[in-house]
Amino acid sequence: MDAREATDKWIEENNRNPYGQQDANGVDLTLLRANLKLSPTERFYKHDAVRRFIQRNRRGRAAS
Amino acid sequence: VAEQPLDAPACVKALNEAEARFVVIGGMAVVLQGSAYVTEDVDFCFSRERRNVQAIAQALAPFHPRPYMMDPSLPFIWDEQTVRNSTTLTLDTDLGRVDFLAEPDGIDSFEGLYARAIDMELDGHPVKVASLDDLISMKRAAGRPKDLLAIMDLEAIKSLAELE
Repeated sequence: MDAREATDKWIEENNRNPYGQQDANGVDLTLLRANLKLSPTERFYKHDAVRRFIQRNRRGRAAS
Repeated sequence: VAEQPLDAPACVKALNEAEARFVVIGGMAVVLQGSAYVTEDVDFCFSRERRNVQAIAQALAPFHPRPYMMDPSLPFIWDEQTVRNSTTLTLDTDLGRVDFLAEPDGIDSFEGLYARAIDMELDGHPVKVASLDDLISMKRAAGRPKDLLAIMDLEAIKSLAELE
């Protein structure tokens, strides 16, 4: 498959399902698959980065 | 306001060094199992055997545990007696918010949870993490809206693990 074909295939799939792969509850399976490829340590540090980001945003909102 | 730490690896290291028997449960276990859930604390289920109560009291002592949100002007003693007489400890520590639960709803016993737990490694420290089925069962027993969201993630992870 050449680059044009691959891109067109992606566009077609994305147009059909703009929210990515989900289960019946709307859980993002693409995100879960990506997490499952990580080690538990990597999952922890990824979570910690998100947690700190949320904390900083909450503080920013409280200060404004 | 300083950023709140949540140093789960340091907590696991301290508990291992004291030879405590524990299993990671709650939101952090959901994260370690692969969910994108976000939590602000680390929950442990612990055995209330005498030796284990001693180990937990010893392991946490250097990190100045105090009950979460307790009036700072009130005195608090962290020792073996405090751990032994508690079924639930919700603590603020130098490592972040840490909870210890002896008898969480949704499981048969600590020994059952421990036997079914998954062996993982967190920053080089061996740790037992509650199985997907036990996490689903505990979250179902808790039944809050945030638990229901975690259940959806856990069930999806279980399906993916079975398929792939």
